[in-house]
Amino acid sequence: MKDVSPPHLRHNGRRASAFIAPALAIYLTIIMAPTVATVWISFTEWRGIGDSPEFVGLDNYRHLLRSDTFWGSFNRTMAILVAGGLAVFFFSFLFTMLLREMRAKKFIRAVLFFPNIVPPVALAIAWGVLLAPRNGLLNGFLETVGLDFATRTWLAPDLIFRSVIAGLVWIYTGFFITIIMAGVDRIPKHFYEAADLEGATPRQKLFKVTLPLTWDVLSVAAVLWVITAIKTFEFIYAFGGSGTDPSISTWTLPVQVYAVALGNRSPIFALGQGSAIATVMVVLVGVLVILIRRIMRRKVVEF
Amino acid sequence: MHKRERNRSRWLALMAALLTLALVAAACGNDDDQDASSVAPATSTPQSGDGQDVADTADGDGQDSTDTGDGQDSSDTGDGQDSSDTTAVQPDEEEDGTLRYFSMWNEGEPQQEVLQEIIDSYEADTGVDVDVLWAGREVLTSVRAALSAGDPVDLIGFEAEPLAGALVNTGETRSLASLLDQQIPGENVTVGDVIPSSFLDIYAVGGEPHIMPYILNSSGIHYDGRRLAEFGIERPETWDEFIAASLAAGENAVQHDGLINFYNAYWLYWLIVRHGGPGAFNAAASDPTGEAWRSDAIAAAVEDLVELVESGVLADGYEGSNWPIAQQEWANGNGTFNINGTWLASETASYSSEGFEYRLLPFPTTEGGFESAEVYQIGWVVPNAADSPSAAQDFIAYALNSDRLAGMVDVAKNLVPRSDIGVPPELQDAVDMLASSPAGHRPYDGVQGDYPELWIEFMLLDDQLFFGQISGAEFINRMADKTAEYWASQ
Repeated sequence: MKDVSPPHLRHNGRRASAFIAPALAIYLTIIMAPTVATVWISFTEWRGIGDSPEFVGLDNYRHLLRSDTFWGSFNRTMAILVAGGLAVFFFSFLFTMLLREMRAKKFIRAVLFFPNIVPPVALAIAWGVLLAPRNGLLNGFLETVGLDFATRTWLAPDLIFRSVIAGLVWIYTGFFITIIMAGVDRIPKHFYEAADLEGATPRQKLFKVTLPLTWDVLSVAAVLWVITAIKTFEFIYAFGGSGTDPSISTWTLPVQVYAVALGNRSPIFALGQGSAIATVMVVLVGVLVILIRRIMRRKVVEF
Repeated sequence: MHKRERNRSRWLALMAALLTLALVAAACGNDDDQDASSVAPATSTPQSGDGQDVADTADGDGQDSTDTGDGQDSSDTGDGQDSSDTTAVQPDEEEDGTLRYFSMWNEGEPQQEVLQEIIDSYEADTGVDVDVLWAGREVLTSVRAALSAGDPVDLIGFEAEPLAGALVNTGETRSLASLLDQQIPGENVTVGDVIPSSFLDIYAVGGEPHIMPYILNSSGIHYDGRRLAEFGIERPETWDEFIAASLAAGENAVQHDGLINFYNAYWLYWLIVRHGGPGAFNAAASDPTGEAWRSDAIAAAVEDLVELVESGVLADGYEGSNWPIAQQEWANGNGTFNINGTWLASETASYSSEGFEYRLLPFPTTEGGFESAEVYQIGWVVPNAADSPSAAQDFIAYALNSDRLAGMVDVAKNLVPRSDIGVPPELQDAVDMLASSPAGHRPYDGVQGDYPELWIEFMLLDDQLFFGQISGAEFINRMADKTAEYWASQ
């Protein structure tokens, strides 16, 4: 088709292409190429130590479908995504609403953000000490204040993953408070003043003012959470013990990718299987991001 | 004017293209660097796996007759740094004079310090530069990264089972047969004279050794010698006696860090070996039908494990105990027994209560069952991809010199595969156990090393059984199914 755009725009287009090319080349080389390679490797059996990949079709995926370990990791990843996500956004909104009218909100927001700048490995080890069964700080505190009945074996099989999720919520809530507050701070005060004059309750202000006017920010935050939750690795890896492989009962998909494909104390070096799990993760992120973008699509409110 | 703009535009496009090329090249370069840097030390702290060893003899045959014990060259002054040690073979002319060594130890661990001394001495004596990476327990992750990036790896030191599973069984290591005839620098003996073939045969490929041990461990049930008398308990020998002793040993009788899957697996693996004999666990894992899991021996082992769990002798919260909490409490006198590797003495030495008497109980026997001791080796392999394989062999021979290896006993409190070096007093029980046992077997009966993928599925189900989440019958049925599925997929 003949380009009918004015010559000066065509010229700008060529100039833009020249500027975009470097970034595009880098993106294709170091992001897209490895992703495509990962998908291809997932159809092979390959140890990656001087041997050649052998095409095995869908065998690695069939293997995953039959593996209790994989389904355990998958379910735990989904638990972080859903249960962790609900908790993170609940607390983020709660603190946002509370902080909005506080004087020292910047300081408190910085305090809440703090866990984000500490390496997750250090936090995970600290949580392990906190939740230790007999001499753990949490149980010790509960006993000291007379709440003996509330003490638990926090890292026992029925509770360990809830403890992991609680730790992740604690780490990430500050980050999402910061994002959501940035959106809330953009809302002109007179909207809230008008709502107050009309006798709106805090709940009504949340649903009628805050949410509609921060919807685009929330959409981005939700996408960020999906990616963060599915990629969670370091915290889980360090949570199970200092210096030991993480207990299999805490594995999530990325931890399993690492354990199966790259290492662990007794490595398997099954790059094909690990790539199949990684491909599942990519598909999961892609599908969920598209769904979230569609579900949260709204007409942008101008203000 | 237009022409000037066009020229400027072309110039910009050219610069952009050059920049792109430069960035892509840089990205590729970084990629390589990243692979190399992933060879960076693992962050894991010392844990199990370091260990001790048992000098000769899991099979009780002791050393070769040529292993005379003195074995020293008269010119060897005994300080391990003897200048006459230059009998070490000089590097092969085709080799580049650098030995790239990947080790399982972390800097600061006593074994690392002993090895560092040996390396320093070797470098001084031979002129070979040893480029060592203290990679920690996930050393094979670093090895894989290096090999996949095309970087040479000449020597790897790690636990024998994962080495067997990841490299030896898949044909990625060199035979060390010629090393057996090599003279140990500073001594008038060869490697084959002092390292019993019974150790080498365990991981032999086609009858040729591929792993050369330098430390030996085993496992069993540890206790403080003073504590049994305190509770008026006789040293238990059978499973029934052990349960009875545990019931009489007060609160938290059996301390256990339940968040380590392979520690949990100790109980069932040992019970299967006791009921079914050495090889019974491995046979169940290697049965393509999975039906071997339904044997009487495994049923009896599972029943005993359920008895242990239901008896209430395991410390409260054992299922959520994060290493090293349980062993710390045990060493501090809160608890009587702890199943673990023979490295436990050195691992807990810094925090055990005053006057602690380290004793080891061989895993309790069962009625009509089998006696056998675990032989857990830490050793070296030379990968096929080595650039300096002869330097690697020379280093092994050099390090096996009795004066140099003695550091593993005196400083690191480990057992070594040479019987002429002596043993740390804390490990006398382990030596007695190994010397008196009529048979030997691999850690986890070789399942961890031979079938690492099935091993993961086993540990998952074993945890559920050990935590009381599934019944014995369910465990057996699911392991039978898992094993059949595993073999069907091979």
